[in-house]
Amino acid sequence: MLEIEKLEREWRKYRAKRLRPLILSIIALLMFGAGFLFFQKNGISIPYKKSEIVTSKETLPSASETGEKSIEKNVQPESHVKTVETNKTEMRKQPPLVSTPLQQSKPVTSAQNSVQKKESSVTLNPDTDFLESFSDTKESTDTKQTYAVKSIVKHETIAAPPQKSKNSSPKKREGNDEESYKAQENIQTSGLTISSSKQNNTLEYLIKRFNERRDPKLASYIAQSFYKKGKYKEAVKWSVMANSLDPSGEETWLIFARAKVQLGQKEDAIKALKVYLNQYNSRNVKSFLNSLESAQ
Amino acid sequence: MSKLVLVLLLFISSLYSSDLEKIFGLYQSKKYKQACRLGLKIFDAHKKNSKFLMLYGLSCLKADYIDRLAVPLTGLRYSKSERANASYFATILLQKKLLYHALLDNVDISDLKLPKTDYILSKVFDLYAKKRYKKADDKYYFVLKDKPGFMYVLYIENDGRVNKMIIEERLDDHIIKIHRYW
Repeated sequence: MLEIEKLEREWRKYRAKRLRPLILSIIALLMFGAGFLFFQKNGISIPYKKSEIVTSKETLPSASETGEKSIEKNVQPESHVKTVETNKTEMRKQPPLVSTPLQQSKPVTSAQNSVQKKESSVTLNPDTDFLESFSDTKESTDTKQTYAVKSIVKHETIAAPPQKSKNSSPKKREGNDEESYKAQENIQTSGLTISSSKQNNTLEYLIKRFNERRDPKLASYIAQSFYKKGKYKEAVKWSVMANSLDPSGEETWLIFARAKVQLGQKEDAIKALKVYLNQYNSRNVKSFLNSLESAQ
Repeated sequence: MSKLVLVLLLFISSLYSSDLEKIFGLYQSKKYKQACRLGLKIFDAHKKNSKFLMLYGLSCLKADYIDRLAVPLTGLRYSKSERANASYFATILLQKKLLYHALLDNVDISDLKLPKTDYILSKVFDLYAKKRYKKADDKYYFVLKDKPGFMYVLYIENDGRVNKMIIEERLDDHIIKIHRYW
């Protein structure tokens, strides 16, 4: 009898010992899954940098939770009719959107004026720090992947649409499709003469103007245009030109680096970005450099 | 059994991250339109991921798909970075709607003072609200003092189906870029 109990105890121990790796692996899996979800939800803790909302004198007031709720209530008129009704009197005091444009502007008091001055100084900027946490594991090949995204529209530098008469047939236009045509228009108003010639050879025109002016901005535009057209060697050439005239231009360094990456010369791109970062501070350049380095 | 679970978990996580890498790759190679379209396709799977929402929003913004900002901005609220981007998106969306309304319905928006952003629509909104333009033939011409030779032209174009708000960027009267909003 005693021996049976002893044997049973030993059997239980044996079974527990046998199941231990399975239990441990399940716990490890759960922890891994929980950790993964946690990082996905909250993001890897990158120290938050300044100046997402740049204000010269004051910062935007941060709404408390209750404040947010009350705003939400006002936004949903169906379920909160009473709130809206009580707010009607307040709304009457607000300057309404006037349906006729040529009203005389109201006299503004000094207090209002100061408030307006403060408001107009608020500048919002996008926060692109989060981009650093992404890893760019693929180079130019990822642009040729086969997910179901339809035709690539490469050219943002485009010519203008032809002036249509009102009777012309409707034509669907989506985004920035490149069109070729020539049109001339001359507009005369009191004290202002605007003449514009629209041509399909904007790039040629820009190159011609660059040869006359040697303006780094023009070189940057040209480099950008070549990059968008997939002419990476030309893009490199023009970005070097722009950099030689104005080495502080972040955009041209980025075009240079991107074009180099597309040409399979990633190391040159990294070197160039490092050289730039030695002299200037740029969040975009840092982010791109990090993504290139992490992909290596 | 445990191996199967592990493999499944790794497979799902790799699928999840590869989508984000794809959209980030497109964003980095300046294929914003594609990035925005891909973001729309995979939105449901990633709508809880704030980094995806911000990347999707920025891609759509740079592709001039402003209306698409309305959805991701509602999910951005938990960190300072998210709130900054949500405010940024909301401001541009509001400015687009107001400018479109003002141009089509003759609404006076000169009393409005909204934050400025670096986005072109925002710049044009600001100049329009301050009435710093010359008007000719239903087109508004904005000359930029800080950029000699540079000009924005704002007008409404009707393609028979919908009125589109057009902003042209011109350099020395040559059109560099056209933005269409509706």
